[in-house]
Amino acid sequence: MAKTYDFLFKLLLIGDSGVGKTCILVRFSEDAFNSTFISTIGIDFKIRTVDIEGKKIKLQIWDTAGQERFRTITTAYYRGAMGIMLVYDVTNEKSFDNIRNWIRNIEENAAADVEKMILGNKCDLEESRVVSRERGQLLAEEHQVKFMETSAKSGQNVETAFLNLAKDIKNKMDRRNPGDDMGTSQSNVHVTAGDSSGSGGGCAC
Amino acid sequence: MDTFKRRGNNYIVSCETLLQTCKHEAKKLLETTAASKKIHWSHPNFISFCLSVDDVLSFGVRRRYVTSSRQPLTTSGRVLQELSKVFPVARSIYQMCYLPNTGKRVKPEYAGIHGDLSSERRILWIRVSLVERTMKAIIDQLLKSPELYYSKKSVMVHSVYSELFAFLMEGPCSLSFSKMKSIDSSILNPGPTELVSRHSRVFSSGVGEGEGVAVGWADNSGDSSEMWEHVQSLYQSSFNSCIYGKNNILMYPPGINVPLQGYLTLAEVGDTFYIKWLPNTLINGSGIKWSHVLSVNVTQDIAHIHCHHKKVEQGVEQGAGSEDDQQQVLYSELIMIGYNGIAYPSLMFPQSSSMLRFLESLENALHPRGCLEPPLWFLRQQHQRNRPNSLSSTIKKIAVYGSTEDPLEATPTDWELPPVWSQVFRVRVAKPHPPQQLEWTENEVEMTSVPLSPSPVSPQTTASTGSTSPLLMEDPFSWNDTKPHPLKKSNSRRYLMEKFQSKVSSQLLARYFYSWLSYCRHISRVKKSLSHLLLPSPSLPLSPSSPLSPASPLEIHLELEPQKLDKSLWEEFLSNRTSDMWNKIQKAIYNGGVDHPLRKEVWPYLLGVHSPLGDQSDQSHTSYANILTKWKRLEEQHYINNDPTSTSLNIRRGYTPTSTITTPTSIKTTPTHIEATPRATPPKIPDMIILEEEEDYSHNEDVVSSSEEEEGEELDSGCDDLIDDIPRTSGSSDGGERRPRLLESHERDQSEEIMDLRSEGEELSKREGDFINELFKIDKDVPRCDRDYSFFRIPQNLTKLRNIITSYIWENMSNGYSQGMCDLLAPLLVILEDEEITFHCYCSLMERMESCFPPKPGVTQRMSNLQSLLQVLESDFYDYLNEMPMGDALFYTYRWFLVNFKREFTYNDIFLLWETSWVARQLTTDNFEEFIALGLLQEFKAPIMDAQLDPSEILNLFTDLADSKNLNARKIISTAKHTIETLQNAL
Repeated sequence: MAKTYDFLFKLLLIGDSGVGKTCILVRFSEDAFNSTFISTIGIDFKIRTVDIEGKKIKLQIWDTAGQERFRTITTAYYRGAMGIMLVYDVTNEKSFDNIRNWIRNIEENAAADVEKMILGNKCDLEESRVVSRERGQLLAEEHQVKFMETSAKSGQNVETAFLNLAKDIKNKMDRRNPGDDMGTSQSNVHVTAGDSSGSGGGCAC
Repeated sequence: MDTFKRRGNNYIVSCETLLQTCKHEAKKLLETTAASKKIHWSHPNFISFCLSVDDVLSFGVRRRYVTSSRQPLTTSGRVLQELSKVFPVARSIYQMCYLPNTGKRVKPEYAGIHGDLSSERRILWIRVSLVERTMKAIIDQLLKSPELYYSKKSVMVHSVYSELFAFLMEGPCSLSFSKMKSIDSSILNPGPTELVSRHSRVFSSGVGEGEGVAVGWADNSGDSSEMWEHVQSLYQSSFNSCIYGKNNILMYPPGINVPLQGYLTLAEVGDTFYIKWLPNTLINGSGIKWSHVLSVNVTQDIAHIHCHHKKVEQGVEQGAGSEDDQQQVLYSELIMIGYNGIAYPSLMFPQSSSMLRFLESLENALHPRGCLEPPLWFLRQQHQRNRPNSLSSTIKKIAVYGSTEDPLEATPTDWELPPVWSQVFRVRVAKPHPPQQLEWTENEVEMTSVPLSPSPVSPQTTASTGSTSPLLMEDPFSWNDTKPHPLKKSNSRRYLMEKFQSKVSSQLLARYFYSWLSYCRHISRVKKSLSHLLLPSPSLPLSPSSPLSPASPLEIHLELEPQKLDKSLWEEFLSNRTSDMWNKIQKAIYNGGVDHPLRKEVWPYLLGVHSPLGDQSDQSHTSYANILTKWKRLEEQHYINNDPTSTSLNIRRGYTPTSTITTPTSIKTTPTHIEATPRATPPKIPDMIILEEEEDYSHNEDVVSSSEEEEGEELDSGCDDLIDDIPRTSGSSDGGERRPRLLESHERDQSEEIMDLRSEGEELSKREGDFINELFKIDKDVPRCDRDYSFFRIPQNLTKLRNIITSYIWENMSNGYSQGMCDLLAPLLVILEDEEITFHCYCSLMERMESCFPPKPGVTQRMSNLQSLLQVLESDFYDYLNEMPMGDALFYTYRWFLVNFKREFTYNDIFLLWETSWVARQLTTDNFEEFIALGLLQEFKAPIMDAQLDPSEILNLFTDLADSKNLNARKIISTAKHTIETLQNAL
């Protein structure tokens, strides 16, 4: 049976606890929002397949626990990631300040050429905002990454952000393997193995 | 559901049962959608709901509309068909599901849900109509005149039940469904239940579903995946071994005169054998009808095999020709007769030798559990061509049974069938021996590779050689003896028999020895790596039902153990508090848990807060109320939480993390400061609080104040503030009213406190500063804790939760707050309800659990224990995991261990699990959690290995199972207990 996707990209969502990583993920993968989502413990992931430039890209998005104490555990998963979303909360100054720390964390633990993007979440709470858009933009430019403000609650920019990130990854991959249409990307494509249970050759008299 | 008796009172009972099921399913369905707005149309809850609806709608249908399960249209579908003649809505649904003519095909947009299972076909129209939201109209129409379609004894005609059903359907009919996933992903990325059910389907019934008569497959669906499986089964795969395969076998299907060419196989699947025949056109893919496929279970279905061999010279029919035109026609025909007397279609082999080869393979495969009667060697003797008395060559030929002879060779030189020959074989299969209790399958495999027994004996029977030895004795040709003996003609037979007997006995001895040896090795491995996981002297004697417990005189006197802790037993204990009695209580709990109403009383004893033997020596805790006072005072002065999305049930004061205690002037001004700053949270509160509860805040003020009173009169101003805080959040106007009162009382208190604070120094101590930081973290998590659970929708309970957690943190600032702590507290609070008791119990629980929170290594330790368990008890799974990148990390178990499985099971299951693990610490093992984790892995090991899931897919599987609450806790608990017992016996 043919694969239903051409590439598999592993993405990672990191950021302080309570900024909205899980909500962003659920918004993207299931188009749903729940205001009382339970706090993430350990690590979890969700999948969604998107279409980019005619290719089917399966996005495997890993969601981590945000609290600092869990950082050493979650850093184990940085290495396989091809794209990382750093999320902060526009109504929480501290989470914005911590973005620098997260970026440093990425530099230490993730692949050198991983694609990054900074997301300022909860932008629907305009009245409670404490981090202006400009500041976020500035921070992103400082680290030479893209920036977007999102709201998992209203859905604003969530899809765009992921598609953007996926496109960047794909472009980088295409640049690296120019003629290689169906090439495997790094080492991270694997076939879902539902039907490959060893059929050997049959006898043919 | 097909076995309802439709007579008399049973009909009422059936109606009730059906409606009960339907209600239950609807409830489950609605609960699933409570969390997310939409539900996916392939969601297992939805499917089971549709099944229950179909049962109701099919029950009691008028006879003329009843269809058999073989027909493509189901009974309820038939009703729909009838209804569609008069009701346009139903017609549109009918057309969507079934094209008008064939009644069988499905429109492409719904093609994705026309799945593998026939049950999915059964509920097709129900699903479609629910998704299209026309089901309500259809049901109303049906209920307008149900007698048209239903008999008197049905749910739909009954006045009460039909109304109940209609009401029941209202909820699900108003749901909205998402069809987000693509068709492909649902097949290739199956959900967990799909995966598990696929696996059990494949392996329980054997590959392919041919049963009994081959003529006319029951479902004639030509379903492509079943076909694929069947075709694939013809080839050697890891799940079945093909013993014989031959192409160009003709079959005469009944009713058709022309023979079909096909491929015949004999395959071993598990411990049964299947003879399969597939027409070649099927394999080549030109879609022949499925009805000609033959698949027969040898051990269960075949009683006799008739073989006919005929060599006929047939005259040429067209015109006179030379003798060369005369044709010789060979028939080698094999007909199988089932136990019910029905003959399978006959199979024609091109040559007699190929038929013989087939028979030999069959006999070979059946051995040692079965044989053919008469055995083939007997026939060979009869039909010896050249040397009737040369047993040696006969033996030689027989001993080399089909393994070295070239299958393409025409005939063995020794024997040949006469021109006309018929023989009836009886297939004899001995009853299978039940597998032994100890699970050392890997050792058995190791043993059979020992070169003493190269005969095709399946590994399962190796351990059961005891019972099959009679067969062995009867059939002297049970193994390959490749050394021909130079025999003397006269004594040959007797000598042979003696030789064979001695060989058999030595082989048996060797087998027993090796199995004992491997058992000893296994025990030593267990001892070495797992003994630390069990208590040294288990105080739990082996249960009488355990097959491993040796019968000992002690057991005769063993009284029947209590199966769980119920009221009578508990009261007995309360009146007689001895350590024996306590031990009995603990065993009772270990066996079956605590009765729910008693848990509130019992748990403090289990956690050591109350001493079971009555000596109240444990009351040296700091009083809870004091703790509350201390930190509340700090909080009200220094904690402002500007985060609009956290609850912060307390007053917010001007605070930034680095501020110090301000001068008295600023303290005085803080009350006004509140009014001055526009609140960071306008009345439009937070997502974190369920909006409809806002009103409750103000109404519950009285309630809150009364509960505050319960906490004790020691609470001073902090308490008053609390009461006033809650209504404030619901509206600044309300808050404003109360504020003047607040200010007054506060100012009064503040003036006293100013002195105190100033005496403590001008800065917050480091501890206090850290504490305030922790408060921020706590307030991020408390509002998110289990808000779907009814208990935590009540704001007072959330307050209690927050109080307890914060008090704990205050007392244990060295660790600080970590995510997961709320999860450990929540079930305690639900059971115990009282804040103070819960606090003490929580402290006791956390004494043990605190080593799990990072950076402490508790979870890693448990993971490595689990690794050891896997390595010894589930070594195949262990190897499978280690082959994969990151496979040994077991990261999906992280969440299990951090919060003691709280996220994996429902609350009720958690109550049982936790109390069992607490008593286990006294009785059997300190590491009950690792055994539970092992049980979880064992439960799903088979589907995981079958589908070759990698670690991230395993994580997905378990999180899906946990989210859909599909884990059977009781089963896993009992598996864990059983494993513990096994290990105990081994040591």
